[in-house]
Formats: sequence, C-alpha cells, structure tokens
Amino acid sequence: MSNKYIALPKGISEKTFDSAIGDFRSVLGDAAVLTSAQQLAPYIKTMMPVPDSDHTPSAALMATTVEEIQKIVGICNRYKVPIWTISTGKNLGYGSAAPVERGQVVLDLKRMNRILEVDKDLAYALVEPGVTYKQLYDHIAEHKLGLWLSMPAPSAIAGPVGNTLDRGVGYTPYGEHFLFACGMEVVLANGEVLRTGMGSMPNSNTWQVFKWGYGPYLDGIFTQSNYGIVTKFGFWLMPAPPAFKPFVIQYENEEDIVEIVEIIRPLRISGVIPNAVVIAHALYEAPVKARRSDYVTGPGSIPDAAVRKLAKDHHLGIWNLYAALYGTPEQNEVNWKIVTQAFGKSGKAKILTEREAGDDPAFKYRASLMRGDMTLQEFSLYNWRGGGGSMWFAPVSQARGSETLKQMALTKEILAKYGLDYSGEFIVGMRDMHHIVDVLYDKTDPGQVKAAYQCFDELLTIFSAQGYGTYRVNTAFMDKVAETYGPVQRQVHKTLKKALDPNGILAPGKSGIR
Amino acid sequence: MDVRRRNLMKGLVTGGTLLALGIPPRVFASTTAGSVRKFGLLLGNTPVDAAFAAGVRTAYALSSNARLNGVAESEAAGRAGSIGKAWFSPPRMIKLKGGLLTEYEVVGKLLEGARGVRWIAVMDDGSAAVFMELMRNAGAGLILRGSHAFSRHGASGGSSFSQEVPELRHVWTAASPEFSAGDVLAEKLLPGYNSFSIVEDFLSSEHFAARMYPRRLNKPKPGFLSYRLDGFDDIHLHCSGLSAADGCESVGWSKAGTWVPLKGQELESDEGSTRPRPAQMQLTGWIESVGYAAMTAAMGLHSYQIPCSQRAFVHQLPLGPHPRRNVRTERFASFVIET
Repeated sequence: MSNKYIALPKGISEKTFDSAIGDFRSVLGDAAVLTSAQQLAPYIKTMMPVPDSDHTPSAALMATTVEEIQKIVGICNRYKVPIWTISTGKNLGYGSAAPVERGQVVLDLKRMNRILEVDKDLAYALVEPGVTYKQLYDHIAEHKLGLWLSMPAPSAIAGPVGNTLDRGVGYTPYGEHFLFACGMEVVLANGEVLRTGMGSMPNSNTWQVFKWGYGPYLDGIFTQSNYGIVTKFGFWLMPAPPAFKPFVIQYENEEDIVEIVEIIRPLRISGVIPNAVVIAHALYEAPVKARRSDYVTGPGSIPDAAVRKLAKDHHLGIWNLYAALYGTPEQNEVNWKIVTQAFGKSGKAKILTEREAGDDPAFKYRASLMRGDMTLQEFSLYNWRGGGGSMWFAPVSQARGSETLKQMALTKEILAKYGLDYSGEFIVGMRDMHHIVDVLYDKTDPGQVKAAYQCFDELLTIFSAQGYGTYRVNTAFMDKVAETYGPVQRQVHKTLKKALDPNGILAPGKSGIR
Repeated sequence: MDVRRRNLMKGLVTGGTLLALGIPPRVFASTTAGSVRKFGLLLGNTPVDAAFAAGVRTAYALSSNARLNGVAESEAAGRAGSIGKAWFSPPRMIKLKGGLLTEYEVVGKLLEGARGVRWIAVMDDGSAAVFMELMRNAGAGLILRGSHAFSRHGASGGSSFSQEVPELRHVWTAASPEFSAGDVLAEKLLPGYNSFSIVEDFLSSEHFAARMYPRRLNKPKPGFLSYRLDGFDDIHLHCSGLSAADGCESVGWSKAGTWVPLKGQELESDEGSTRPRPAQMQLTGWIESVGYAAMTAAMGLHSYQIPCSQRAFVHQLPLGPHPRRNVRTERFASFVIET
C-alpha cells in the first residue's frame, strides 16, 4: 500500500503518480485535487457485495471547464493514468460514484453546473454535466417556462446528463431519457472536442432540435461507454399539460401480471397512456409503509403469506400499476373511459385515483415522479432488509404477459434460493419492459454478502442463458454482462476503444470495455 | 500548591476519570481535530435516536470532565497538543422530524452552510445512502461511517446464510486508524452480549498524527486475544471466546493464511485475565454504546496508533444456555463527518 495515497492506479508507481498529481494541481489548483482519505471516502460507498477497496479511487479531480478537461486528458495520456468520470455520481445501486477499478482517478464534474440554455418555445435544454434536476426544476419554475422534467428516483440529487448517459429512465411521457437526448459536446481522449449531430456545423442553430446530423449517428456510442467525456448535453423537455390524472390499479395475485401487461400494451403503443408506466410488486412499495421485521423475523426470504398480509394491512395490491393521463381535461376524460373499460372487464382490478389514494404515501411519491416532481421516498427500499446492500438487477422483457410472469417467477425463485426477497417492478416502454429488481441484502452479515454475490451472478447466468439481456448493471458485474452479449459486439467495442482512446485512459472497464 | 504539583494532581484525577470510563488516559485526545471548532449531532428520526444521542452525550461528558479538570494533553496523552480547545463545546443537536428522505434539502443546506463542524449522525439505511451523496456535494470529509445491526438471523437464529454470524454486528469504515471506534465499542459490549462482531476498514492504514511520536506497541485488548495475519502486518484480529480461524469465518474473511499473536500479546496472557480491571461506566444498551464510540472517534479520543488497514473484534460465548435478550431487530447507520 502506498504511504501517500489510499490507492494507486494499476501499474503506476507512487513516483509516477506523484508527477501526475503535481501536473493536475498545476492545472486545477491544489484545492481541486483531492487525495486524502477523508476527501475520497465519500466517493467509495458502492452498496455492492464486494469489498469497497476494490473500487477505491486514488484521487479526485474537480474540473470546471472544457479546457481543464482537455489538459487533464493530456496529463493522463502522458502518465497512462486512468480516469473515471462522474457528473453528479448518483448511480446508487449501480456503483454510485466509485470507479470500476481500484486506483482510477475520479474526474468529478459536479462543478460544471451551468444551465446554458432553456428554450421555452422549442422545449429543450442545454446543460453542463454537473447540473442537477433540482437546479433545472428551480430554473424552470423561476422563469415560468411551463415545462416539465422527467426524473429518475434520485430526482433532486441526480442530474440529467449522468442519468441519460447511463440510459436511465423516468416516469413521465419523456421517461425513456435517451430517446429525448439531442446533441452532445464530447472531449475525446486526444483532447479534441466533438459536437455531435448538427453541433458540428459552425453557426448552426439546430443542434438541440435535430438529432441526426449527417452521416453515422454518434451520440449512442457515448452512452454506457468510455469513448469520451460529455461536457454539454441537449435534451427535450415536455410542455406542461393542461391536466394531469394519476391513478393506481391494484391486483391481488402475482399471476395477474399477465392480464395487466396484455391490457396495458395496446394502451401504451397507441398512446392512450403516454407515460412510462410502472407495475410495482407489493414488496417494492412496502418499505414506504412497513418494516420487514414486523412480518418476518427468521432467516430466508419473506413467505408469500406474509406478503399477502402486508399488502392487506397497508392497502397495497400484490401488483400496483401506476400510470397517468396527460392532456386537456376533455382528452383525459375520453382516455379515462378507455382505461377503465379495459381494466374493468375481468373484475380483478381495483382502480384508484388521486381522490381515493391521494394521501397514501406510495401513491404520493409515484404521482410526484409521474409529474416530474422531486421525491427521494423510493430509497426507503434500502430500509427493507437494512445493512446497506443493494444491486439493481435489470433484465429487459417483451411487453407480453407470459414473458413478464416467467421473468418474475424465475427471479423470485433464484432470490429465494439465497434467502432474498423479490422487490421488483416493471417499467413499461412501448414494446419492452425494464424489469427492475432491487437485490437487497445486509452488508453487515458476511453470509448475506456472499449469498447476494452468488445470487446476482446466478441471475445473470440463468437469464442470459434464456436470452434475457440486462440493460444496465453495477460496476462489479460489467465484464460478466458484456460477455453475455457475445464476442462480436465485445470486439467491436474494443476496436472503437483502441481507435478513440489508444492509451486506455478513459474509464477502462466501463461496460466491460478496455 | 505550586503549579507543577497542581497539574500533577489534576492529571491524576483525570486519569482516574478516564479509567473509570474505560478509556486509557495515554490515548486521550489525539491532535486530529484540525480546524474543527464545533460539534453537531444529527438525528435522523429513527427509533434509535434517543439511545444513540445518550451515548454521544456521555462521551462528551467525559471530555468535558477532563477539560474541567484542566489536564494538559501532554500529560493525558503523553504528547503534545491540547484538549482545552473550543471544539469541545457541546454538540449542537439537529433533529430531522420527517427523516432525511423528506428533509434532504434542509440537510444539504446545513452541510453546505456549516464550515469547521464535525458532525456525528445517526439515520436509517435509506437516509444513509442519500446522506453520503449530500456530504459529497457539500465537499465534506468522511471520517467514519458505520453500519450496525442486531438481528436474530445471526448465530443463534440459524441463518440460512451462515451459522456463525453474530447477532450483533458492526461494520465501520474509517479514514484512518486515527479515527478508530472499534476498541471502545468492543470494550463496552463485552460484558453484556453473547456474541458480536466489529469490523473496521481503514482507508489509510497510517495514523498520521502518530508518525510524529515514537511508535507504540500494540496495547492488549482486555478479554481478547489479538492476532495479525502472517505476512500482512496491517490486518488484525481480536477474538474473545473463539479461535482466530472461527473469528475469521464469522466476519467473512478468508480462512487462508496464518494468524500469529500480535506483538504485546504476552502481556495479555499474563495480565489480561487476572489484573483487576477498572470499574466500567455502564451504558444501558448497545445502541448507546455505538453513539458513545462514534463520539469518542469524533473527538479522536481513542485512536489506534499502529498501522492497520483492516481489523475485527469477534466475541462469542461458548455454546450453552444463555438468557435471551428481548432486543428487537434493529439496523441503522452512523457517521462522523467534517464540513
């Protein structure tokens, strides 16, 4: 172990690192180069079942300008020091702010937090990576722009750049965030600055309104990747609708997911229900209302009978579908009839609106997210098992009832084998569903840590063997997931990496790409 | 009474007080406070708030007593420094009535607005995940982070994961051994609990302040046998009632490797079991003990002065009928940070 640093980049001597740190300081100033344990400790908590020491950074750099970043990549190339870039670093459950490999230098862009433009008429924004949803929310409110944001669960504390670049989702009609991205500025590993799409053309005023530009579309290669550092990011905002009608539809049995999905799919594809609908299992919603230990105290996963009792006690369905209508009151009235008729047919659904469920804490936070408001209530999930362990398991499913039931049952079975609970939800895209499961475990219990690791590994193995791919994963399992997409894709990723970053200084290991 | 004699008397009084509180005077008051002038106590609206705060207050009372007795740190700690500084003012207490997940903006502003404050905090695990983010946003330094659990899934509960996991578990990450809380907590828990584990990870293995002074030998931990991992001088294990191999397993460490007695261990066998121990200040429960240990770490009262990257304390009474405590399942997180 180094005496001066809490970690060193792989293959870099303390002497070489000293020189790199000296150069970083000459560019950024002493205060913007963090190396002490106390300063770096807030970057380290990962929630994954591996030692945090596997993901300990050697330093953190606080850049504030594109020019500084260009100089930083120059220094990194000179000394072959790898950097791990974060915008706000709120990727909780996916590795948070910690680097994928021990010793990487965190490039923290939280101080690059200028809102460069918000256009009311064309409904778009251009921001720097450190801008948070809260900042943008306040800006829009202050200037009465009449626009809505789409936020992920960490809402207020996270930002649109990091979330979209990791292909995160929100819960409004603009919930598939990358679908609404439009134009990036990227510092490449050689220090050049690329503007994608129309941004490459001098004097263009269409950078944030036309995505495609000319020639191959490049924006996608800068998401979930390590080919460049995004320093400006454009995206579309939703005009505030005249009326908003959130609702929840509850079902009492796990098998009912088949009916729910078969009903919701045509409503989503046709646009009757425009937003990213969530179908949440009772155990996903329970932590905002109940303590696990009030229902089960022994080892193993929570029994179905206890889940049913919990759902009854706290007015939850075993499945809880949260959706909303957006439009004029007249439009919403027409669509509401379509929705209630569709879900009313079987007699299994319990449909609740804001009038009946407005005070329910689960409904309240879901309605906030569907309205593009800020709430952190979803993190009550971490209290369910307690002990600070969490990994998001995120396979993609067809929006087909039989598929969702199969995925749910398979996930639950594997989790139960390791004594873990099924805290899952489906986020409905148009034709796909993000099946999101929080693998919760107690990090103070070494047995559970081991079980969680093995369980997650098995989930990835079994699901990929059945053709179910994972769309996003934490930093401990990136190589494994990359493997599941086959050797050709991996080789293409590697070829691009070699071409764009021959010294491998940008986040080597991100998405399994080196 | 001349000044020299008065100081000596005060030193004796304070030394006695510290011993009664279970803290050896020679380690009292490290010079780690830096520019800190104030303490804050943040209570996250959890069921453990009151007990945790009581432990913090008790630890504060200790430091306050010592200060009132006027002992110079050079006498109390055996080296230069001062305990009579302003940072021993009582912790300012902030209660989050709605919890941090609701009052995250308040906490964000609090951390960004306060400079030179060392905060001791307690909250649930959901809040802890967000708190880490807020403190990083605020540019705060993390001194100590703890995760604490009492659950029946442990050894006596017949966990499906492992039979060997103690029911009372603590995992601490500290910036360096300078901010160790393990010794204090182990000592407080030992008399009253059938089984517990305390794991400490130090991000930096060096005690920077201790570099300035002659290196001390490892002080034997009363009631524990102490080991280091052969070939890794900075990994330590302290076991009570079980072997090093079993202790290792119960905290999830690899069983590979050989554990050899730590230097100074001979004293343990000679004195540890027979020497009368000073009267211990009784804390009413384990949560209070955690608050106490966190506050002593915040004040640098019990730093670990030998290089260490990781260590654990494991205690397990021999199998047999033990009175079951009526302690409910509880989990929470603790922090010591500096803004």
